[in-house]
Order: sequence, then C-alpha cells, then structure tokens
Amino acid sequence: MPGFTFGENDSFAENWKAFMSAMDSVDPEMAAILRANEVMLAAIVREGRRNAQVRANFNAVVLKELDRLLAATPEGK
Amino acid sequence: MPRYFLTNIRVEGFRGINNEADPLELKFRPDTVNSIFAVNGIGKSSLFEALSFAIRGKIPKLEVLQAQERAADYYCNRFHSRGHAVIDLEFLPDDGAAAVSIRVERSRTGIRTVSSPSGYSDPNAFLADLDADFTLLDYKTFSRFIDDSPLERGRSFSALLGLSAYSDMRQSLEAALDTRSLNSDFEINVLNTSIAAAQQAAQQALVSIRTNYERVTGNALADVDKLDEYLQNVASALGSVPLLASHFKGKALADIDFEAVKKAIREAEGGEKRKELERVIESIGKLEAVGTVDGAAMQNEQIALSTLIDARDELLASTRGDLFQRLYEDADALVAKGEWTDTSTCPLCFSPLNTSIKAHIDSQLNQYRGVADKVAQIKEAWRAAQWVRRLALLEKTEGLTTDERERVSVRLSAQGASGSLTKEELTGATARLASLEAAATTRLQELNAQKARIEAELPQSLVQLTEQVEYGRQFKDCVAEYREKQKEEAAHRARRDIRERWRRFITSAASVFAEAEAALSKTKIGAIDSEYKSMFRQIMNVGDVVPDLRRVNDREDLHVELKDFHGQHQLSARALLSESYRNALAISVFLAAALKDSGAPRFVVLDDVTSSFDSGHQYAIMELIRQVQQPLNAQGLQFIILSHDGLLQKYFDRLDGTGNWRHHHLQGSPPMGAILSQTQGADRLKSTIDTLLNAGQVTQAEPLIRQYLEYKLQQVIRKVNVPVSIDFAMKDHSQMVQNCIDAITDAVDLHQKAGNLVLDAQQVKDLSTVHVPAIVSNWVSHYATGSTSSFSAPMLKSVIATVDNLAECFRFSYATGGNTTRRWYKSLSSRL
Repeated sequence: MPGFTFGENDSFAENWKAFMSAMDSVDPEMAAILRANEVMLAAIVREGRRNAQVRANFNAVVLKELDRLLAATPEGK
Repeated sequence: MPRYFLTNIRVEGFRGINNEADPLELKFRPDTVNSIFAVNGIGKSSLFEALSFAIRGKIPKLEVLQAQERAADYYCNRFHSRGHAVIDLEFLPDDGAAAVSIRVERSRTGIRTVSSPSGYSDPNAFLADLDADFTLLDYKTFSRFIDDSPLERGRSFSALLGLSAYSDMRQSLEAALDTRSLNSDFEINVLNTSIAAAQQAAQQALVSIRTNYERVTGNALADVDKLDEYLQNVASALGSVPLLASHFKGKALADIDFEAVKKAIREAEGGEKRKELERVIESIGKLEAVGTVDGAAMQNEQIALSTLIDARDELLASTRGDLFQRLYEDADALVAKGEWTDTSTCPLCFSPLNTSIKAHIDSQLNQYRGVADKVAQIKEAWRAAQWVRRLALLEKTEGLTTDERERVSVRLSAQGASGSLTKEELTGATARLASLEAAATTRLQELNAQKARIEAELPQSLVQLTEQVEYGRQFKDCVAEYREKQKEEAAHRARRDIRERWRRFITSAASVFAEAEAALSKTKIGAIDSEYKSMFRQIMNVGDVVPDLRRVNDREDLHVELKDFHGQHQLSARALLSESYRNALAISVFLAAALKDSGAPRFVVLDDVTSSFDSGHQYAIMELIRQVQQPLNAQGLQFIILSHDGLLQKYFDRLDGTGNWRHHHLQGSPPMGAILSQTQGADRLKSTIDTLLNAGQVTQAEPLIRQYLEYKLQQVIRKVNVPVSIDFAMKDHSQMVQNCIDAITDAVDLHQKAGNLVLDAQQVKDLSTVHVPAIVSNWVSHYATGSTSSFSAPMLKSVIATVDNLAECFRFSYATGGNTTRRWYKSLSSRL
C-alpha cells in the first residue's frame, strides 16, 4: 500500500475512513474486522497511555471474528 | 464552526479561592490581551487550576500525589463552609452568536457536575472541544517539551499539532501487532503444538496402515493418496475367500461387520483357542501401532530440559524469595517515580550503599527475571517435547499400564505446563519412559510367542485366515484414524493460518498508518516552520542560531537540532542552548501551532511562562503576544496572561486601558479570606481599608492603601494620557506612588508652561499646594524609606481622602440634558 497519505485539511474521522478504504484493497475481510472493532482498537492507547487489558480484549474479539469467518469459509478455499 | 473566546470566569470555594458568597470574578475582553497579576500566595495559581479543572477535569499537581496524600481532599477550598466549589465560565463565539455559559461544580464528596445555565445542549462535549494542547500553558509544559525524550516530545508535539488522535491510533496499531502479545492472545504456540501432535498421530497410523495392507494383500502400499483404492483392494482380497464372500459382497471395507466375520470363522472351526488367537493378534496390532521413535532425538530433548531445570534452579538459588522480589519491585517503582533521589542510601534502612540503589535493584530484579525466563523456556520445552507425548501414549497403551492415577504423564502435566518440574521428576519420567519402551518390546515378544504357540495348536487352514481378517480390521481402523488426524491437523492449520493472515494485515495496516502519520506530521511541522522561527528570532533577537524540528521518518521521535551553530552543523539544541533559549523555542512552537489551529478554542491562557527570561526578553514575548492578539492579527487569538512577576506587573499597568490591553491585579487574603480584582474592586478595597483602620489594624491596612493609591494615581495617568518615562513600569513597589506623582506633576507643569493646561486655577492650586504635598509627606516619605511605624489610622484615612481629591482635580462638571455629571478631562490640554 505505498503512497497512502492523510489529507492535511481533513478531520481524523475523514482520514480514518480513507485509511480503511485503502486497507480494503489489502484484505477486505480483515479490513472489515478492523472496521467493526475500531472503537476498541482506539481505546488501546488513550492520551498516550497503553491499556493492556483493552489490547487483550481487542485480540479476543478479533479472534472470535476470525473463527466466525473461518467457519463461514467453504472448505478448501 | 464557531470558535470561542473566554470572556468571564467566576470562582468560589475552589483551591485557594474561598470567596464564600462573593465569587472572584474576572472579565476578559476578546479584542485585547488580558493580564492578571498577583504576588505569591494570592490565588493566581488557583485561578489557573480552576480553568484546568473546568476544561480538562483535572489538576496535574494533584494527579501525581500519592494515594495516602488524599488528593481528592484538596480540590475544594478547605475553609469554605460548604466545601463546595463552583466555577462559572462564559465563552463568546466569534460568529456573533450568543455567549455560552458553563458551570462546573465539585461537591464536598468529590463529584464533578457540568451544566450550562445558557442552555447549551452538551456542556461536557463543549468543554472537551476546548481542551486543545495550547489552551492552558504553563512553564512546566514548555520545559517538558524540551526536556522530554525525542519519542515523548514527538508524541506531545503530535497532540499540539492536532494529531494526538493519530499518535494514539498509531500506538494502538503497534500494540495490536505486538508479537509476544499476539502469540499469546491467539494461542499460536498451542496451535503449533496441536498440529505437530496430529501429524505425529497420523504418521503412527500410517505405519500400521502400511504393515496391515502388506499383510492382507502381499503388496506394498505405494501411494498414500490412493487409500480408497487400497481399502477396496483389502475388501476384495478378504472377499475372495469363499467362507467370507457373503460378508464382503457388494460392501466397502468401512461397512464390513468384522465381528460377524470372526464369528463365522469360529463357527466354521469352533473353539476357544480361535478366540484367544484373535485377542492376541489384536493386542499385537495395538502394540505395533505405537511404532518406534527416534530415541536419540528424544534423548536430546530430555538433556535440553534437564539443562534448563539446572539453570533455573541455579538462578533461583541466587534470589531471595517472593517477599524480597516484591520489596525490590516496590523499591524500583519508588526510584522510577523519582520519589527517592538519594541514590547512595537504602530507602528502607537508610544505610549507605557502595553502588547506586538503581544498579542494586536492577541487579536483584534481573535475577528474578532470569528465573522467569527459564521457567517460560521449560514450559515451552515440555509442551513441544516428543518424548512427553510418547510417554503419555505408552502409558495409555493396553497391556503396559493399569491405573490412570499412576500415570507419570498425568501426574507431571501440571508441573511441566507451569515450568515447576523438578530434576527428580524429570529423571523419574525419563526412567518411566525407558521402562515402558522395554516393557513394550518384551510384551510384543511375549504376544508373538503366544500367537505362534496357538497357531501351532490350531488347524493351519483357518489360522492364517483369522489373522488376515484381523489385519483387515486393523487396516480399516487405522485408515479411519489417519484420516481423522489429517482432518484435525487441517483444522488446526486453518485456524493458525487465518490468525497469521490477521497478523500480516494488522502489520501492514500499522505500517501504512505510521507512514501516513509521519508524512502528515512533517507537513504540519513545515506549515509552522517559518512562523515559529520568526517568533523565536523576535523573542531572542538572534540571527541564524534558530533550532530546527526534525521528525524521524519511521518513528514518532522529534529531534530539536541546530542546523548552524557558529559554523558547526546538526548539533543538539537541547545540549547547547540555555534555558531561556529553550523556553523561547517552546513558546514559539506552541504559539505558532495555536495560530494554525482551527478548533473550538480561540484563546490561550499562559501561566507564569516567562520565569526564565530577563526583563528585556519578557518584554519581547509580551510584544509578540500583543501582535498575535486578535483583532490586531485577523487570524489571531485571545491571550490571557497570569504572572507574579513584579516587572511585568508594571508593564501590564502601563498598557492597561491603552486599547489593546486589559489588566487585572489580584489582591486579598487567601485561603481563608476573599480574593478581589483591583480593577473591579476599588470600592470594596476602600471599604476594607475603612474597616481595618476603624478597627485600628494599621499594619493590615498598609498594603491595601498602597494598592489603592497606585490604582487611583494610575487611573489619572490613563484617563488624561499623562506620558510616563520608559522605565516607569520597571521600578519597584516602594517607589511606584512617587513615580506616579512625579509623572503627573511633570506633565501638569509642562502643559502649564506651554499655556495649554485644561485644569482650572483652583485645581492647579489644590494639586500643587495641598494634595501632592499631603500624599508625599504623609505616605511617600515614610513608605519609600520603610519607616512605616509612624503611620496612624486617622492620618492614613486622610491619605485616602487626599488621593480621591487629587483625582477630582482632573475631572470637571459636565451638564447635559438637565443633568450634571463629573467627567474626566480628555487630556491635560483638552476638555472633551
């Protein structure tokens, strides 16, 4: 994904949306999981402080999503 | 979106501001610089903290207190009868709309409530929008900006540029891809172990498949991918025997009822020996299914585990137990927080140390960390060990062990998984494995001998058939086992692969985000580059020695460098520049960033930010602020400056009322009494003086009288535009009244000689022969020399009356519409 840039005059919300669109081209299914859990992702670090419990919760939710995606994927794909 | 100026603050019962039933109120103008002066201990810091609590919800100074210091008890004024703090703020939008008022309260029990008397729908969100990094600035903010590590500076700078959300998200993405956390949270190692175990079980099943296929068909199994074909071959081989044909006809091997087939053979020949032969062959098959393993590899695993246990025990012996570990961790926290600065003394017993306390704690904690590291390695070695699985398999194999409770693999699983396995337990387990291997060999030999004996006793014709049928059954079961294990392995592999796919994705996402964030940050730095450098030059009056901000490409680090330092290049600004230069840089950067910002706050509150500067540079900073104050600067901000600096106070006084400056002078007796703004509280000040003098409290009244005199005389100077000397604002308190009188009398004298003095003759006479001599003789001559013991209450009352009368000499009666009012002359030469 070379060359992706944030808009200087865009808000963070607008830039995050553009970033997620760019990530869709990397792996749309993984991007969908990230998009669905972006609030929890953002809470891992707040005002520069890292919260290990939120990080563990985020990974747990992602894990569930991955298992669900795997279960919905036809065998051999 | 409108931006907001801060136009009013009212505080009661907060920190040093008691003001019970009489809140301290300060009005700020959006179109002028607003300054507030107070000597130490008069509540200036409390005012800044009130703003911090209202806008940010916290007071940094209290946030860092220890729990036992009970920070929560120090928000509300401790002498306020209700212990209830109220902070009222008023904000004026720059789009001409109505002002927004916000009330922030803190109850005695520590509950914070936010409301909007003006009816703003979401006052909490309103305050959150005002919480920009530049809104409330103090000296610590600036010094931290310079003294932080490049990484911390980079992160705080991101916030300053409005990029804090980007910095936080960048860190969140980095945290989400952290290898150790991800391996642990996603159980990658567990999955790898499960895959290896399934592979091993499938290989063992394949060994039996090959053996049994060859025994039934006489052919080698060539291609493991053709198992369906081989299943059919086995069914065909057994179905070709006439006695068994009816059981196999038209059926796949998986559907064959082998018990019925065996019964048919038994019925054809009869006898218990046939049944015994079947049981022996079945047992042989089970033992053969266990297969053989690479003994050397397993031995290497055992040696490695033994070495790890030795290393762990050796490290453990050098530690001093759990209690000391907790002690060292607490001591480490104490030192890390900077609460113990004497590095050569033990904080526990105060005995002197040969090395630094930090080095000693690190050394001790490293031993505990070494133990934890070895324990983790033992756990991993146990989990991955082939010989452990082999031990568990043999202990479960029929004929080798009896009771599950006696199984070593079961008994030691908890110790192995927790890394607490002892050397003795390991030795016992390896010995147990060796004895089981030997027992398996012996048992197999016994069964083969038993089989040979039974075969010799039975008619040969059906012995081989019985064996063939049993081999066929085993072939069928092993194929099912092999396929099951392959399916298991595929399931584990799929789960691991999709997790690895997430790892690749989140790694890519973090990288893309970080690059974009770095580029945006560089752009933002570039946007303020010329502005902050210009400000820095203006403050410090320097040429080329201007620091550069350099953002590192792949990190958040922000370096402050000097491109050119008297011919030398790329040097550390932090190392070379003096404190005032460093602070000037920080002020320049923060102000430049604030001017670029387009968020909700359009005001900046500066609390004692000039402490490290001499008076000349203080003046330069104030001039800079005056130039970037709106509306002089159309895109500018509103500035509110708090200071306890006596020199700046004179400067503020000088500019007060000049059109682009508004000054407040706080006075009072916190934390028990009230704090007043002199500008608004002249009448209250005079009333307080009266009360004190009537009570004979001359000493307490003296400082208030001085303030009142200064206020009245400076009011005259402002109202009639009396010129003052350039150093007027820089002289000390004790001479201020004299300076004011000198300036006024010099100006009156000048205009009188020029023949354009507007004062009437009586006013001139009263001024020169009554009021000025009275003030000089009754106040200045005593106060300036410090000999105030001769003051008496009646005399001081006369001084107050005299200065009021002096001020009246510069006013005239103005009649309009039937009313007569007293007005100030426009100047000393002009009435209106």
